[in-house]
Amino acid sequence: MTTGPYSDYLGVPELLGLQRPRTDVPDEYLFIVTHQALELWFAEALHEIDQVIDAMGHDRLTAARHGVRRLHRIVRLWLAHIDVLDTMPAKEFAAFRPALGNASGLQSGQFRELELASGLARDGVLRIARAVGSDDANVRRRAGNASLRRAFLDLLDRAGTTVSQLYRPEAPDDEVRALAEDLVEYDMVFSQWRYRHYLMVLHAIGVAPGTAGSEGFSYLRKTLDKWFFPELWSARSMSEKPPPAAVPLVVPLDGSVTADRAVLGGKGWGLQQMNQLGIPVPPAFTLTTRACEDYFLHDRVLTDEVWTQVLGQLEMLERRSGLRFGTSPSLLVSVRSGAPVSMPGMMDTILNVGLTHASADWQVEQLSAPLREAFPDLPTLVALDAEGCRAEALAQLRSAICRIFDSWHSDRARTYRQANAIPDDLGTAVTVQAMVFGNRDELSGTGVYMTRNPITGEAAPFGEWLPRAQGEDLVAGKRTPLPLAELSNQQPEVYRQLIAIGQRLERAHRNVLEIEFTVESGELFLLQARNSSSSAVAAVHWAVDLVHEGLIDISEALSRVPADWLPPTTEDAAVDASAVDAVATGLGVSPGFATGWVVDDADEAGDFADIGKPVILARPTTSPHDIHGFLVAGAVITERGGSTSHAAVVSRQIGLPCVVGCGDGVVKKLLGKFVSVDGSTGAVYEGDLTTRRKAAPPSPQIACLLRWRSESQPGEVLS
Amino acid sequence: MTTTEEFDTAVLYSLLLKGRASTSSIAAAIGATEDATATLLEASAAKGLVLLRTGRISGWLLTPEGRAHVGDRIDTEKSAVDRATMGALYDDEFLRLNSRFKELCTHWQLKGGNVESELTRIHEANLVLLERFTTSAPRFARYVPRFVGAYDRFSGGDATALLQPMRESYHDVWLELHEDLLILLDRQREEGD
Ligand code: HEM
Repeated sequence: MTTGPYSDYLGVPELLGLQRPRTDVPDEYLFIVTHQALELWFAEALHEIDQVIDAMGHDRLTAARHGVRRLHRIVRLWLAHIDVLDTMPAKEFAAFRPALGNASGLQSGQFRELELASGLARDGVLRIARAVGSDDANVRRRAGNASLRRAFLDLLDRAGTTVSQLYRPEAPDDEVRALAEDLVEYDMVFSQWRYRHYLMVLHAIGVAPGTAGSEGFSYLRKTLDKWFFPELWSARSMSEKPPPAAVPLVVPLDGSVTADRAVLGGKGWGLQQMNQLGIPVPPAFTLTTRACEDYFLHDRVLTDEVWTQVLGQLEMLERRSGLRFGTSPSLLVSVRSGAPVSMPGMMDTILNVGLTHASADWQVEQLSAPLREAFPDLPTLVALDAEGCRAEALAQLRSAICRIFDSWHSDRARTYRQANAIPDDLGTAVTVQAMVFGNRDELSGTGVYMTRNPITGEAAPFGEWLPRAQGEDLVAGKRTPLPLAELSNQQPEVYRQLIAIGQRLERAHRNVLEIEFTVESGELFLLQARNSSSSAVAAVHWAVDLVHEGLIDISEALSRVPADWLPPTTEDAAVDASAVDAVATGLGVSPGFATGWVVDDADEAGDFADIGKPVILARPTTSPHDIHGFLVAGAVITERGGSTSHAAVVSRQIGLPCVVGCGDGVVKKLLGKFVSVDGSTGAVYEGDLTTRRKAAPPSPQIACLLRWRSESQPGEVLS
Repeated sequence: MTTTEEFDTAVLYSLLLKGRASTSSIAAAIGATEDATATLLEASAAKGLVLLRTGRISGWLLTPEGRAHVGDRIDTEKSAVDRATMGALYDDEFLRLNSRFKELCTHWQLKGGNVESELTRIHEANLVLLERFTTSAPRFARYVPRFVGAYDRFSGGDATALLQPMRESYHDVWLELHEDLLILLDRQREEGD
């Protein structure tokens, strides 16, 4: 080892004699050096902090700022150290970890000193130090000394100001405030180090983020909430918020104003949330619960103040939709109640408000009857001139709003509130929203999109698309919808946008969603999004996939699968689809496998069953008349209908494999044949394929969930 | 039930709605005793209007003559009720409620989630709607105790009372009501139902 002035000055030989690996694992050396380097830097940082505290004590602002900015750089350097250590593979670490014994960074006395010197509350820091035996004399001394935080607050005191004054909008942008900002930044980079270290720990030990894992992880995660300068953070954030205003009467739902759920009602609040996520919804505004209160204060009259605001917002709707209310092309609106809880006896929704003779012919034809019924007391669709039509439309709107407010005090609603202990004075909001029409032209339609497959659990978009139709047509099952994928052929850009929104909403809600949407002349609008229902297997796949995507943690995943769920057995195995061609395919809506002769009549199914022949009931659609056929058949096939059709509901109920929506002509094609039906994949095969089924190994998701389950049992291992 | 003819129509009509049914389920549906219902069914069998099938799923069903016979009676009823009002109620209210009910069924089956509050809302709306149907066609009042019975059983913890077929479940009664309306109003079942 070389000696000389350099080595002597720096104590190089001593320094290099301090790395004493306990194993032969090469990376242990790096592990030691990194810790030692950081301990040196901790010492240097403490040294800087002492000087900054001293500078502040003498009101030397420039020197203090200079020191704090040096601290920024030092702490950033620690991040870089972790970057190097992070290249250590988990298995290297595992190889020497036992040799560390109980040694942990948790016992670093200098780190506690840093926390104390920066400003963390004394008691908490000392409690930890004491618990791990690192409350040495240095730590105790620090606990008695001034911290950066204390020194800064004292400085403000001397200057005759306070933290909140510092961040008032009118406060000067001076050195004191600049120092405050420097301290906040120091807090931020320090927190970055905590987080960087936390990530490295996950990485080095080889555990998935979000796991409850060991005490060590959850401890480290909690330390992310430790801040040195809480007063500065809170004063800063206050300064950016406008002072709390009085509750408004009418609120646009365009993201420009935000209001609480209690003010907007469920409906308006939901729309506001969607807007904030940048999701296209038909333009809307809400009369708040305060407007409701105002209405009853004025003996059930919409005051001029409220009505003027409504007219103003209506103009916004007109501008945003490019349509005019009560003139052509005609804007129609829906008017909905938004009570905090939905209530029997309350008016729910009035659709197509604003329909007059100025509206398009098809609108008048299709929508006039229900509208007349909604407004029996109003002259509707009588005016023929422009002015009259506009007046008629406005009268409808005003009456619709009043009727929803009135229904808050209907006898039924009141009785319901009494029975359910809901206060009478909550009031309801009213949301007015532009209507969009999926039946407008060829580029229009409506659909339901589930962000993942609710039957198999596959992480792929799933759903239904019905061109040239309104939402009601879809839920009423008036026509057989196409698979959602058809939308990507017909309108690829809309499809892309829809899928992207679904993914965004999934992240925001941490759940798989079912989204109702309408496309009007090539423009996408979301109408509603809620958590999607699923089969048990799909629930497992979703839960595991969401953990792997970082959206939920393992305990949440476990709670989303019924505790008594067991993986499917080989009896549910599917036909190996690569081996044979299906004679018919549809939507598998009730899982299971069955073989039998195809009949198209429930009574005939009974005859077959009576003589002991296996039978499959195939029908264009089913109705209650076919029930006795269900009870003897091995499976049911239909030509039309979706997952809520009669056949699907009944089959699931009695545990019968069922494939729906196989297309017109299938009954005729299959009649009299012997077939195999796979209710999970929706495939129908000719012949008996019982032996062609492949017992697929449990999917990785199922295996993973079962593992988590067993690990979550009491007696879990700590790291 | 006042006249024998009304009774006779009620029994056969109920059978038309059910497709195939036991004596007891018909008696329950029309609110008559089992004995009276059995006597009438046997008499109708003698006239060739119904027959009793045995086998794995046994029960009464209408013969083609029986169907024609009920058809005539229904025509009489059709001319007597206010079909315009009922039709409007069907289009505007029933279909909407129907899709909510179907969604509820699907939701319950797939997720096994809590549907009670939604069922309560649908049930309440359904009772209001039945009251309005009853104004036009009084016999619709008979659905009320059936729905209430199924609803009470379900709320009382009997999970089969929602959907189990051929058990007078809420779904069973619902389907019958739907079928009844379709026949009376000369409507077609929508494709997806
Ligand atoms: C593979 C590398 C590392 C692993 C796996 C690791 C692991 C951990 C764990 C699990 C804890 C939580 C306390 C406990 O359960 O013991 C912890 C705390 C700590 N570690 Fe590390 N660490 C590593 C590297 C480092 C390095 C290089 C330093 C630098 C000095 C360091 C400093 C600290 C400090 C100061 C704490 C206490 C944090 C606090 O209380 O807020 N660690 N470490």
